[in-house]
Amino acid sequence: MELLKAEGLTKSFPVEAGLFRRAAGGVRALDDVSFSLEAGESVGVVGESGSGKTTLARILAGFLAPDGGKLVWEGRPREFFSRNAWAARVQMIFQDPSASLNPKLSVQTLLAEPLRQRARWDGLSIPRGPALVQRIEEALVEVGLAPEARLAYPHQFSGGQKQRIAIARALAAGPRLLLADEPVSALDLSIQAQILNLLADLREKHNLTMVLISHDLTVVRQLTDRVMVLHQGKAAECGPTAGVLAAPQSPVTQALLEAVPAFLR
Amino acid sequence: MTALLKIQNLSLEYRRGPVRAVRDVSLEIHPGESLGLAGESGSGKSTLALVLLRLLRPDEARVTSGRILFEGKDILTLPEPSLRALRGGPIGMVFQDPFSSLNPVLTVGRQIEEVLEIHAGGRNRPRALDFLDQVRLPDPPRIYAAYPHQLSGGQRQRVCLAMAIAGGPKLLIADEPTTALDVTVQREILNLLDALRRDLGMAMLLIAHNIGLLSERTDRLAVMYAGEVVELGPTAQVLGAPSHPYTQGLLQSLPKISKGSGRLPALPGQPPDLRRLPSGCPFRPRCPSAFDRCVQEPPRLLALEKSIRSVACHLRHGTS
Repeated sequence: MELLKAEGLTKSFPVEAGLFRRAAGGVRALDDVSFSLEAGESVGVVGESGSGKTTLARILAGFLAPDGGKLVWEGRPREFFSRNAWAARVQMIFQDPSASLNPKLSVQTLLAEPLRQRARWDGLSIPRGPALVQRIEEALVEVGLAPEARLAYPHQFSGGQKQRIAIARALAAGPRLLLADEPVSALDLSIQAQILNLLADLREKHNLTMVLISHDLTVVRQLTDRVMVLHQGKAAECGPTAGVLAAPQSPVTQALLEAVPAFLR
Repeated sequence: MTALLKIQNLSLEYRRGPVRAVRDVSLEIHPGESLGLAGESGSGKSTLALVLLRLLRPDEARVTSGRILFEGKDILTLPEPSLRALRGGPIGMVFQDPFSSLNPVLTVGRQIEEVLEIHAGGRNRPRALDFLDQVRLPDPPRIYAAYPHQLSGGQRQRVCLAMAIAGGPKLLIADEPTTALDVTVQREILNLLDALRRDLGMAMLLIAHNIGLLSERTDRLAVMYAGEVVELGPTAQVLGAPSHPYTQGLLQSLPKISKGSGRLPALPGQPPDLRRLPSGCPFRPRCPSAFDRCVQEPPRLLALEKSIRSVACHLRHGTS
């Protein structure tokens, strides 16, 4: 079943030049990109910086409106949904968990807001007191953290643990689509496999649809069923991940594959 | 062959904590050789790069033991003027972020000529242009006149390389030289580093957290964990048949294109807090094969029998 469909997404950013920041034309970050996501599948979006992959993620997350094209969620246009309604469906995790978690808030506070929001959205009674604490502790245990972690602050955790908190927070909102923008690139090498396994487990458990944005083809191979290679805002190649990586057709994909060291191919 | 750089039993601690960031490290780099240094954050690899040129402030960090001999002279006891003559000259450096290594208000040409003035007997425009050409920058006269902000990340890193080789280095220390760059640009820069090393006959210490980057560009590989070198040997052998349980577990955990999806055999736990190291072997809490002796006694980096490889693990060194 089709969950999300993107048709002809286009986005330009103005380029300013000179002392007085005159508009000096625009750069097409995304140029007529179309695809569809089936419920429960995992799709990789691959490309170099400037390829448009992060712009695409930000449009899907609702942080950015496209200049042209449309997004359709289960037959309804993006505009049909309020900001909160979209956030209840689509959540995102980022490369640097230190930057995406508010350092002034305890883990408990970070998780309480999306949990309350979700209850409000589902028309359930809003959890408070011991019930809320229990929900928070369950969310932490699910991502492999101790229940007591709820009382701590982000700086007290390692990079991998912070990413687990960010994942718990994203899932607390009850999304059906999870966008992961380079979720392990900033983590220590010996921690990356733990987080990749966690994402795979959670995807299966919650039947999540996932869009993984990455420059690293080994990670894309590990986590996705299909892949779209972006280059200068356009889709250069699309197809099943195993097939595309076994026999890449586009020179862009070939160059990205060649960048993978031989012993990781 | 005598070593160009010889690090002997080096230990260093940061005063805050105190954090023992480098512990009893011994390494040699031979002329013309490329040595890779792999390690995660907190492994001590970047601290090691900085202390090799005494770039750490004495009020920040202090060397608690050991020597660093470059062509027989101990860098740790060298007077400041001799040290300045070494930095950017016989020992070149390239760092992760090329933008912060360049002076934003000077043209590229001017910055290369400054290196020539200090280390090569005077300013010389043709030679500066030649170095820009050697790092394969297109249109050297245009780059010569440009300011750093007018260049791309890859071009800036090439300029940093041009400045390093303008000093005529015998040893180039490259600390995460491609981490800030796109993957395909990374590869170009690594190829360039390799070609320059061969052409100019310099030795290289290539430091990276990404062990994959080191796989194709280094003769030997040192793997650091919690401030120690835990495994050392020819790169192909270390990656092909790792001996330390950390290296083994790390390499097994990496996703590979040919492996397909499915669960990865992840290493459990996380790198230790250097302020609260476990007793004995620092990898013990994450090690699937740890036994009694690993709790009691820290393993030392010892040569494997009949091999040019060494490993710091009790499993590999019997009960002596």
